[in-house]
Amino acid sequence: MGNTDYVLFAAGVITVICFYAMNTMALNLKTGVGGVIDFGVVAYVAVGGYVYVLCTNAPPPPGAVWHIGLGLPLWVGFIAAPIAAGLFGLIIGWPGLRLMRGDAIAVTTYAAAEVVRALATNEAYVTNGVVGFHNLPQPFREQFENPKAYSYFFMALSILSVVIIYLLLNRLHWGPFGRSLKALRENEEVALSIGKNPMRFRLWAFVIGSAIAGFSGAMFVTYQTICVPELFVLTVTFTVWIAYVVGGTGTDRRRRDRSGP
Amino acid sequence: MLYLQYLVFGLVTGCILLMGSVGFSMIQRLDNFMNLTHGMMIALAAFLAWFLYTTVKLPLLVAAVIVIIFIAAFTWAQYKVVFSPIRKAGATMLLFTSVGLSFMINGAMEGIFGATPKSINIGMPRQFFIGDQPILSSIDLIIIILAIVCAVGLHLFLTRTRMGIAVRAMSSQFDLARVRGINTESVAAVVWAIAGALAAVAGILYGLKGTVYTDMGWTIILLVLSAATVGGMGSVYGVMVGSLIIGVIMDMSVIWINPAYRPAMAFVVIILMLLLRPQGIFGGGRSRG
Repeated sequence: MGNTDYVLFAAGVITVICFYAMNTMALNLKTGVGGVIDFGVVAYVAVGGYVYVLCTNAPPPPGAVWHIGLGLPLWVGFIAAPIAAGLFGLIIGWPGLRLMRGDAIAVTTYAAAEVVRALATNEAYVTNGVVGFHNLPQPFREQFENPKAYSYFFMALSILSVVIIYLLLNRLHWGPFGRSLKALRENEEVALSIGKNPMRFRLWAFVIGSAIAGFSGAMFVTYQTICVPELFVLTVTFTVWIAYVVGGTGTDRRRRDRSGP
Repeated sequence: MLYLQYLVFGLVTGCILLMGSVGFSMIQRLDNFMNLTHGMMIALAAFLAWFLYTTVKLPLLVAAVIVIIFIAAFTWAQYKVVFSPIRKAGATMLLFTSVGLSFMINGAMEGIFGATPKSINIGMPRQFFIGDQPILSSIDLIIIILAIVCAVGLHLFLTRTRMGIAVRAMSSQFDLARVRGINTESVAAVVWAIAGALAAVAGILYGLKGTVYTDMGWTIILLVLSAATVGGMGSVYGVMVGSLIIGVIMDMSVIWINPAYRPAMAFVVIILMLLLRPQGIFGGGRSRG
């Protein structure tokens, strides 16, 4: 095993770290800043991943089990994934956030993740069931002769998206939106008295967090070049949670996870 | 006729779930957090029962008693070693610790027993008929009787014994109970052991009714959580009714919907409950932010 193999492996690990870093930052927005316990991280990742695949996949060949493949350019998929995941977060978050009961939200999000996986496994006419999708196209793949060079490129792409999301979230945290959220978290009555609507702010935090998770899902399936229900198991949620707890709850520092591919 | 049959299936499912979720609810009421490890205890009980009955070849009843004692001791030890020392850290940390512990137990189970699904083969149970339709097997009857015994026993424990009254006092006002001289530490440990014993009974029954697989803990805890939500978080009587409702809805949904969505029906019930009656059927338990 040559030196380059280790470097290549490290590139893969860094790509996965970036995936978890995006999700952990999203979770930090929801839970750390917004105070909403979310146990369904993997649900938004799955929605993002599948929407990306459905948008970008070529139309199904005759006789295929699945029926949807829009064949749009890849960048459309990368935009559609966060939008769909954000909408999904809106639907999932609304019933629990309306009451703002921590346990209720934890239970609904946890259950939602299970439902998403059940849907992905069983609604084969959309998701191709347990077989899923393979050989997904990767952005700018044709520019690279060497598959190894491409993994470095993809690593750089992942790091770039983490940095962009970090900067965006940083602005959000320190801007009026983040300050209102933190005020709501620390003392809801005081925040209410100056006219902050807790439901609206928390729901926005939830939707933005879900959208980021959806984007990371699109990146994840692109990196794996497959999209199967087995990718979106509960372990992903709890790995993100471990990263979140290890990083220190409720702080604004970035969190990362050390698990490999 | 079909409806009646599925209704009975649902009631039996609900009865098993009842025994599984009552302990969860008591712990939640007492220590104010969701103990996800409870689902793993149910799964572990099913595995141990399978192991003792199929591999060691003990009689079923002996195996069941050993499993119940072991799981009760194990949950008691969990409380003493893991949860009691970090109680001060708050509900989120306790919840997260229980998740971590669940993963450890899950991994250990997969390592020891292997990932292939197993079943406890006890032969064909006797069937009871209405007309010429099989309606209830002897196992189902035992499950229903056990659930009633559990419910009544727990009720008597909570209302008639000093220990039970102490549990209720601690559930409603922890600090006050301690000031009044209740040994909160030992009462809590007893509650954990009882919860473990009930989880073990549920686990063994799950093993007898269906297959035993390593991820069953995660599936079951989802049902337990929904039963707790429907019943009102932390209300022991609410969770009993909630379990029966979840069981009936899940099994009757099979008539109209793809059986693969059976667990997903629990989610639908949770959402409906949160929208229509967020405090749960009995509205018990403390509200938390």
